[in-house]
Amino acid sequence: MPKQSFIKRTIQSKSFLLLAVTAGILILTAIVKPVAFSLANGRELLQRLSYSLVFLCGVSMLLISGGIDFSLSSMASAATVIFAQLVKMKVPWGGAALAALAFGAVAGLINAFFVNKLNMMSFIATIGMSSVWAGFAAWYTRGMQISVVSATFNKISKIYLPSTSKGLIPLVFVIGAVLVLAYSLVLKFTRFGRSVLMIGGNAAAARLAGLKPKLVSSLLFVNASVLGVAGGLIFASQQKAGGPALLTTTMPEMTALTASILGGVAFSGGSGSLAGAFSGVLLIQVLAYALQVMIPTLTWVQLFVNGMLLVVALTVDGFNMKRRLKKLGIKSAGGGGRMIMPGAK
Amino acid sequence: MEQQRVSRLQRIVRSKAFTLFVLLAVLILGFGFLSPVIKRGAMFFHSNTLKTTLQDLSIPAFLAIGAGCLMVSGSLDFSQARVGAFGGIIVAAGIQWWGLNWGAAIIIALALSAIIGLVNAILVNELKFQPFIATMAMSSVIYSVMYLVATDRTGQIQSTINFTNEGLTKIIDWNLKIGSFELPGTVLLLLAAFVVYGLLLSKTRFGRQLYLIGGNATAARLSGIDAKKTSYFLFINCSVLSGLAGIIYTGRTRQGSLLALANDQFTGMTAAILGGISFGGGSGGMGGAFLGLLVIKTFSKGLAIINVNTYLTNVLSGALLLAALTFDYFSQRSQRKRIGI
Repeated sequence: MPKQSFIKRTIQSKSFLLLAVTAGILILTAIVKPVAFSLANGRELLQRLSYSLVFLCGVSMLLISGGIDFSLSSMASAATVIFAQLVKMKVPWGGAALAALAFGAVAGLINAFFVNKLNMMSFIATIGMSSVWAGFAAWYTRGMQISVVSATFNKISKIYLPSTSKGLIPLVFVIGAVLVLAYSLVLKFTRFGRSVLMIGGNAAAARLAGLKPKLVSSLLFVNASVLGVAGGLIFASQQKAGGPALLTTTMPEMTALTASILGGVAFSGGSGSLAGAFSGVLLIQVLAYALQVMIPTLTWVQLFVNGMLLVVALTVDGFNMKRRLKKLGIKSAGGGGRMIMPGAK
Repeated sequence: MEQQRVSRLQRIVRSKAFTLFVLLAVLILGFGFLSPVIKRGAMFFHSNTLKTTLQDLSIPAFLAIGAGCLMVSGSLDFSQARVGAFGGIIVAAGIQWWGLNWGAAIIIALALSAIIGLVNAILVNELKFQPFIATMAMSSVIYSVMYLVATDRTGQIQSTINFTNEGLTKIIDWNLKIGSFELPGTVLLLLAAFVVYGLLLSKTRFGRQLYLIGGNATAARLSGIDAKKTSYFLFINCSVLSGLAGIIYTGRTRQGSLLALANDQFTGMTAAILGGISFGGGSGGMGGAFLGLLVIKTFSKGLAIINVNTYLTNVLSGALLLAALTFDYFSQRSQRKRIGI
C-alpha cells in the first residue's frame, strides 16, 4: 500500500513531468533526425549541462531563500578575465582559480551588503552590479578575450569517463551532478537547509523563531557568486579563454532561474527542491540542443522558445500559488501590477 | 512672517530638486575647470557641448518619462531598451526592405510597441507576474522576434540595417535657429513631453490616482480606483515612449540595430530614482526626473570630454543606479525618523 502511494507521488511530481517531456523531446529528435544521436552531440550536451548545474546550485538556493542574483553571468565573466590574466602572468592555474573564487566571494558580499544592509531589492541591486562588473571587465580587456595559456587547465574539461576514446561523460559534468546532489542533501536534511526554506517562506517569522535571516541570505549570496565563478571556470576551460562577455551571451543564471521555477521552486521563495530544478535544467538544455540540431538556421525560433519557457514556467508557478492559497482559504492579494516588496522585512 | 520665510527657505534647501541643482552646478564647474587641465581633452565650456548634451538627452528622456510614470504607481519596466531597439529595427526594415514610406513605418513600429506594452500589462495584471520578471522575460522574447525581423532574404541575420530616407532624416535633424545657436527639434519635443506628463501627474485626477496607487494600493482600491486599468495604460504608455526613443535613435544613426539603446537600459529608471521617484512608488515627479536625467547626461558627457574610456561608462551606469538607490534609502530613512516611525 505505501509502495503504491510512493509510485503515485512520483508520477504526480514535477520532476517526473519534466523528465517525461525531456524524453518526449529526445524521441521526437530521434524520429526527425536520427543521425543526431552521435557521441560528439552527447558529449557537447553534457558539457553544456555541466556549468549550468554548477550555476543552478547557487541560484536555486538563493531563490528558495527569497533572493535573486542577476549579476552572476557578468561577474563570472569578469572572474574568468582575472583568471586568464593571472595565468598569463605565470601564476599557477590553481592559485589563479583560487584568486578568481575569492573575487567571487567579495562580489557576493557586495551584493549581500546592498540587499541586507541597505534593504535594496535584490533584483535591482544585482542588476546594477552586473553592469559594473561587465564594464570593468570590458574596460580592462578592451572588450577582447584572453586565452588561457595553461594546457593542464584546458584539458580538465576534455577528460571523459570512462576514460576511453568512447567515453561519454565529461568529468566536469560529474562535478556538477555531485554538487547538485550535495546541495540537495543540505537543503533536505540539515538544519541550515530547513532554515533556508523557512526564511524564504516568511522571513519575519523565521527571525522570531530565532533564525538569522540576514546572515543566511548573505551566506547564500556569497555561495551563489562563488559557485558562479566555479561555473565560469568550467566554461573557460571549455572555451580555453576568459573574456568580459564570455558568459553574458548564454546567461546561465537565467537558465538556472527558469529551470528552478519550472522545477517547482516558488518564485517568491519558501518551497522547492533541487531535484525539480535539476530536471528543469535537463529539459531546457535538451530542448535548446534539439532545436539547434533540428532547425539550425532558425535562430529566432530557438531564442523565442527559450524566452517563452520562462513565461510558461512563471504562469504555471502562478497557478500553483493560486491553488495553494485557495486551499488555505486566502484570497489572492495585490492588483494593479504593484510590486511585492521583499525589502519590507 | 519672518518665521514663515525661513521655513520656506529651509524647505527649498531640503528638497531633492535643490540637491540636484547643486550637484549639477558642481558637475558643470568641475568639468569646466578640469577639461582645459587634462591634455587631449576637448573644452567643456563650448556651445557644442550644450547642443550635443541636449541631443543626447532626447532618447533617454522618453525612457525616463515612461519609467517614471510606472514607478510612481509602484511598478517598473525592464524591457524599455529592447522595445526601443525593436521599434528602430521595424522602422529601418520597413523603409529599406518592405518599401514602406517613413510615416507608415513609424506608425507600425509604435503600434507594435503598444502591443508589447499590452502583453506586459497582461502578464502583470492577469497572470500576476512580478513586473520585473515579466518585463525581463518579454525582453528576451522581443529579442528573438528582432532576429526574425533582421533576417534578410538570403537567411542571413543582419545585426544592423542601414537605410536612407530623406523625409525621416529631415524631421529628426530639424533645428530651431535662435540667433547663432541651433536648438534640436527633438529637444523641443522632449521638453514638451516633460511638461505634458508633469502636468498630467501633478494637476489631473488621473495623476493623483497614480500616487495613491503607488503609496497605498489597498487604500486606492477601497476608494474606488481601478488600479488595473491604470496599470494597462501605464505599461502601454511606457512601451510606446520607448519605441519612440528607439525610432529617434534609429533616425539619427540612420540604421536599425539589434543592440540599440543597450547603454540606456537603466538610464530612464536611474534618472527617475535620482529625481525622487522612489522605488516603492507614491512619490516624486517629472521635474525631478528631468533634473536627474540632466545630471546623469552632464556627468557622462563630462567624462567623455575629459577622455575617460567609454567602457567605463557602463560601470558608471550601474554605479549611478546603486548610488541613487542608496541615496533613496537614506532619504527615506531620515524621513521616517522625522515622522517618528
